[in-house]
Amino acid sequence: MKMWMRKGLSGLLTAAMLISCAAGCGIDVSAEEAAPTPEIIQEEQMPAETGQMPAEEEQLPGEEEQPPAEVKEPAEEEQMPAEEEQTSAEEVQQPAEGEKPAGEEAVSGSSAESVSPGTQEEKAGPLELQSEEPAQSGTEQAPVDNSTTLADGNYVLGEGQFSYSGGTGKVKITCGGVRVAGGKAYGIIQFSSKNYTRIKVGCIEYEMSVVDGKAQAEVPVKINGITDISGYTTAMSDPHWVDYQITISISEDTGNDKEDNDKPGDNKPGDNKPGDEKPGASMLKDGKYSIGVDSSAAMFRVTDCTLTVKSKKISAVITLSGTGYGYLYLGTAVEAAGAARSEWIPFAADKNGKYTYTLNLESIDAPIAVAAYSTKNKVWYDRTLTFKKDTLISLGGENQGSNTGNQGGSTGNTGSGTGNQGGGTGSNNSSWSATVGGSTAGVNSSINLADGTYTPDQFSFSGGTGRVSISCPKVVVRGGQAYATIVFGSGAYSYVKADGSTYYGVNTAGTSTFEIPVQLNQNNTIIGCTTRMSAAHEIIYSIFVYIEGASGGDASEQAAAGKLSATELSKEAPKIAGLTFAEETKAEEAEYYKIFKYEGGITCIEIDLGVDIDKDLKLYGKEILRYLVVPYDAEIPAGLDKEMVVIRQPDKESGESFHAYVASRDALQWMDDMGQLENIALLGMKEEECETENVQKLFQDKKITFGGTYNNMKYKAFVKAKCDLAVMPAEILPAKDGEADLEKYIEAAEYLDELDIPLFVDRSSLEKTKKGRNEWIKVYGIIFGCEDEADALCQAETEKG
Amino acid sequence: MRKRQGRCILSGAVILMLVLMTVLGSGCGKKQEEKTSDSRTAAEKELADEGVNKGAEADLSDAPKISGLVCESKLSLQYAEAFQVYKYNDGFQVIDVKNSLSYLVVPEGGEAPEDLPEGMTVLKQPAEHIYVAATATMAMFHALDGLGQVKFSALNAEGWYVDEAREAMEAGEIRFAGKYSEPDYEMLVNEDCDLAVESQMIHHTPKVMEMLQMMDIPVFVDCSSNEGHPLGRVEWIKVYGILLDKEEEADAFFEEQTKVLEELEGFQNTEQSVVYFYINSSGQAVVRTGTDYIARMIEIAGGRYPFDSLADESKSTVTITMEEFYAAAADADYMIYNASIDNKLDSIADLTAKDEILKDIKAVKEGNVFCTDKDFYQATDIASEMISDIHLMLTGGDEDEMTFLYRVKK
Repeated sequence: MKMWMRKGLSGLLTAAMLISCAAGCGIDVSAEEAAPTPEIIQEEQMPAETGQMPAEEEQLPGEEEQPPAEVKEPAEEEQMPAEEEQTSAEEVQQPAEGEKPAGEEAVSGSSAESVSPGTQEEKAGPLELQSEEPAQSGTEQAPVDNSTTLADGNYVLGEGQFSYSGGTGKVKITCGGVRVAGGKAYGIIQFSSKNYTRIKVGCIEYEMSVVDGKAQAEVPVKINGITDISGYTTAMSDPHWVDYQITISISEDTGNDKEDNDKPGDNKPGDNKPGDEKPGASMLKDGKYSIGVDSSAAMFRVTDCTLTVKSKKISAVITLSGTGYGYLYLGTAVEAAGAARSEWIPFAADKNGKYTYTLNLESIDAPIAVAAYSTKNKVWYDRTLTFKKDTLISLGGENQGSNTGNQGGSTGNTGSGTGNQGGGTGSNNSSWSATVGGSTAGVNSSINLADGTYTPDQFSFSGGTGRVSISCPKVVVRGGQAYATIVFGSGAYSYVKADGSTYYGVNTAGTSTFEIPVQLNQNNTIIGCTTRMSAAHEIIYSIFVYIEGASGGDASEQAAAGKLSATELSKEAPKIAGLTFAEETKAEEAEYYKIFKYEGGITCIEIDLGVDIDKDLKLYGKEILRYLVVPYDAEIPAGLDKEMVVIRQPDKESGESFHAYVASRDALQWMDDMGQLENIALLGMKEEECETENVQKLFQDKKITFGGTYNNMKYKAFVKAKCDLAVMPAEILPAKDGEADLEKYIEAAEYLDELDIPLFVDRSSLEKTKKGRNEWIKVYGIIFGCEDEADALCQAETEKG
Repeated sequence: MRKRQGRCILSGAVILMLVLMTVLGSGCGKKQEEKTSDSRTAAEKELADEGVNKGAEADLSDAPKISGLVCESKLSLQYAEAFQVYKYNDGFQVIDVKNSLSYLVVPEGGEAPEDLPEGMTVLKQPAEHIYVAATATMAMFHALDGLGQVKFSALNAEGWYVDEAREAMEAGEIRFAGKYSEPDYEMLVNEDCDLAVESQMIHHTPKVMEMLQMMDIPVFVDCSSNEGHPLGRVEWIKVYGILLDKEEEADAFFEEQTKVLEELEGFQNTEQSVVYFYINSSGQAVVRTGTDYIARMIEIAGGRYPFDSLADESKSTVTITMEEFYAAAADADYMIYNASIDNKLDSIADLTAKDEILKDIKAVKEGNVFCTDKDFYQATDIASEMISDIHLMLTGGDEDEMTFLYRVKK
């Protein structure tokens, strides 16, 4: 009732005002000032939409350092949340707290409850190795029991520690690392095929992210037992689950009990009463570790620490954030002041001038009194350091190579230590600590280059949103290990995880710089954490740092990609960093293509469109189109897809095939003759226009459909048919003479690019000789993986005359 | 006649009153005979005047001409200016978004006429497989109890502050279909998406919009952020009500939201100044313009906004140096920190750590610093609660009653 009246009242009111206004003041009651135009994006629609977008930053090879921060406009910074917030499948999203393991989202209707069914066990006995459940095919009813008595931390698996069985044997499964948090184990499981979109462990499904052609996800795993998993592959027209069994073996040498650390204050250093279960040296195996250290005072911050355990003696080298303390002393300030000077622990400055100190510890995990001498005030201060056992990461193992150049355990050195590194694997420029969260695998950063500073010949990367640029201005080789300086084009990256550890760096308003160990001339997976929003946000990248002649010492390896001509086919094989050229399949008469083969079954095909194209069309905007035909499981250097159109072949042996759209009659005929019609899902001609029986049958059997003519493509049909390649006739290009009206081509390139469908132009019909034309059969032989049939057909066609 | 405008039962009475008023009314529009109008705040009056121009007189001359359809009325709008709805016979409607697209809404079971004006997009009622890529709209769908008609989202579950949306995603009822610039066309096509609701960001990726349209998925661009009046933004719920075929729910909801204005009628402005801003990563202050809806909220709530003079119809925020900020905000009585982009403040020390100069601002010295919750920007349905919050702040009301603001402790 009231609403009724209110409405009426406001109706009256508005009427009254209107009349009075109009009558009285002659106010213009018509529409007023224009509302803001749609082009100006208002910032309210946060966090997803903000103001202007930053300029696209393409990472081109060889691009070096970022310009100084002043160049960047403040408005650009705001865009980060818009892009990084909306994570795509590739990005790993981690809550800042790090409690929840990644990949815990239950994708299907199954419950979203936490993976760990039981309570945390704290028994001192050996881990229960076998699961009660029989090994079933991925239809287990309960979540997997991934409890373990391994110490919390990140584990890198060496040879023999991971194995799997099941499936057809065509797909390789690897484990990128194991993380133990709260007594539960999680492994990064990677499938060599990107077609695996989900993985099921126990009864819970997880979405997989694609990194470098591999699908991966972090899932709960059993340690020293078999975990049944299932992978959901969308490779074939009939997606289905495939069962596997994986085994991860990690021996428990770091102690078999979890200490509770809830009484720090009660423990005094050196207190080794029997019955005390402090994790002393006896619990730690000999080796090197990284460890996180808490301090009692903000100004007394330990930025990194390496422990060396040998014959039950623990030696810790800590690096402090500040340079105000000339000495440390293991004890209280009073004790320090009364002690002999020779007992004071001096600092050793590392290459960056940061102060490091070597402390001999009796134990870790309990707070230790460490007095600090202020150089300025000439007085000792009481401080406490706690070396946190649950942040221990073993630095030993085959993957690390030799960590040379690190401090030894000798104490009492006077502070003339030049070249003394501050912990870690000799990385000076980034302080780091071991933190749990998304993890990266260890990398073999050892390299056969001489120590020194190098400029990479090429740097490329993939991953992320594409809005933040990454560059690598230099690589430093120290003690035979390579460390790359990685610069993000945003000041919001708080740390980078690489090599199984977390690295902190230097931030300016517009850049974040880190130094991390890398494996040169290989793809490295790193995780960058951006703090754009209140929740820290981890994003996976794959980086590729190339220095000619490094790694493996294979002299035949090609150098970084030189300038590839935009208007002419390459006379020599393009130098592609990370790929080794094998041979060229020379054409005898064909002039509009070139085929260069590289190791690993990878082929580079160049096509000369014969028309001057100089448009901003990403990879299709030049006269020369370059394609990289890659076997389904081959790894290519990160970022190469920014240089060439990648055509990833299906896994033929598993029965997969392309879902191509073919609008070139010649190509269609040849494919028919080679028996490759199964690779076609859409045709650019209608059924009635096709003369071949085979093709007509496919229409009738509904194996192929009409996808629209090449100048009027039905993109919806493309999406429905999962099109993954479009073979266009030369007619899509205008004739060489006359004005180049490239509208059709540009439109096709833009839309196909939007759908991520490689566009291939068949220029065979324009070859001058019949033989030249027929030689294009070999091109299709390569793309469709039927080179023998192609050679035979080419031969036959030529003989026909 | 106006069957769809259910509430215009009074139309006859209105006309009568109109006549009476014409006879009785005199003088300038600002002096109102009605008691209610007298007690409105000056700013509110000004805004209402503008709102008055809609709806009262049915000038249908600007209605799009569609063969076979006759325009019968226009939706009466109180505060919104960025859209218009024309109602035609048999339940057909046209939604015309200023500087954006026009849409012909076809009622369930109806068929769109063959001959449509160029560029008009057809939307069929009700939309039942919606892809929401404009985060501001999710709350509206929720307010209309329409989440069941949303099937795809451009944000992952964790990105939503709208609890029910997040839960629906976790339960698999709404699926992540790619962010706005990279939608999963395959999912949308295979699962019969029938409407994509995009924000204006889509104009930066025009190919995406074209591709969606080529997939036969109509694209509706939400332009509610173009509204300068806070309730104008909320009034967009009427548009979403049409798309979901829940117009009555939309009207009812909107009425509820306007209550805050009625409650504030007659309130004398406290003349206390409230500054609303955040500091970006370059150390500069980002403040609202004088014509922005938040600046208006402050006025409506009974405060003053120091950056009034930064009027720019085309922008909602302006970036200025800390010096310029201090010059205008030094005496601000209250400070509200915008935590949607930056991190939330846990203490005033968090704030002053960003720039020492903030310590000298009156609001900081007196401890009157508030901060927004992160969910404010997604809570577009109850955005007007912010007005209440600011009002509570200005009048020393019960801070527990605040929806989006909290006082930052020392």
